Amino acid sequence: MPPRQLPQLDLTGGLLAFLLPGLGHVYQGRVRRGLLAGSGVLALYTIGLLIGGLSIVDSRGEGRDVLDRIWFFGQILVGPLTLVVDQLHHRFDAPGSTVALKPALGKVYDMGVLFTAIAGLMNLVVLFDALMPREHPIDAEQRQPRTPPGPVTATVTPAAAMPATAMPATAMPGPVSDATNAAPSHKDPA
Amino acid sequence: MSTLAFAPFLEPLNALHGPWAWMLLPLALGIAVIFRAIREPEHRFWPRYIRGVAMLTLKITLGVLLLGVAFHLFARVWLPLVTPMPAGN
Repeated sequence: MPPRQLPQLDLTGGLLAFLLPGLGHVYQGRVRRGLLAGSGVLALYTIGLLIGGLSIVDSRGEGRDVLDRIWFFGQILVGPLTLVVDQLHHRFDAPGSTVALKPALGKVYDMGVLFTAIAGLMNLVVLFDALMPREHPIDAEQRQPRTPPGPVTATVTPAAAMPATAMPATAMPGPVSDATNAAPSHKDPA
Repeated sequence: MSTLAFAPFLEPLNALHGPWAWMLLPLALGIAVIFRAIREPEHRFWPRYIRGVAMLTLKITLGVLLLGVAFHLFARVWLPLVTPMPAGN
């Protein structure tokens, strides 16, 4: 599907890009970019969750340093998916839950948080590209019809196409004739 | 249930405690896949994209490695030179 004419500011595309990574580009007709960027963001996020488990997405930051909650602001940039993961985390962590959620510690926690937060930050880049789409200069150049290289030829102007009788003397092509096109002289002939 | 079984998403992948630094490679690859997807022109997309992803992955990896070397030299070589430890420590 060819990309449709891209507006200067596409709020719908930006909103869709926030709802699901890559969806804004797909909406704009840039399907290949959307699929690649979206699957990349989701892959980074999934790898992060696989490394650290659901416990690394924590909006409340209970039992952790306050600074650890800063990472949640990076993770939330992936979209509503982070809210779902956060809800699952707190549901599984609640007393009486039948699911045993083990917290990540040390380097494993760091790597999981790093992957998910970078996925969010990269989705911010993708979101801005969907919000303010720009055509690549190479694509713009390719769309322009190319002129064949060669010597510059004179173009026929409307004035040259006019009959000589209807042409004003100042627009006459060819060598300037003194008799017809002489510039007005300010000299006194006497 | 075996205690060695790994439950994805419910428990961390503790096997990565040792080789955690190798995770830089998929991280760099993921960043490159996303970034080049929105930066490459539509004209001759795939050759440019694959080359761009490979180059950006390499640049990120080498950049982080160089930063690691620089911080190592700063912390282990330069700092002990400018702030010598007292004798006996």
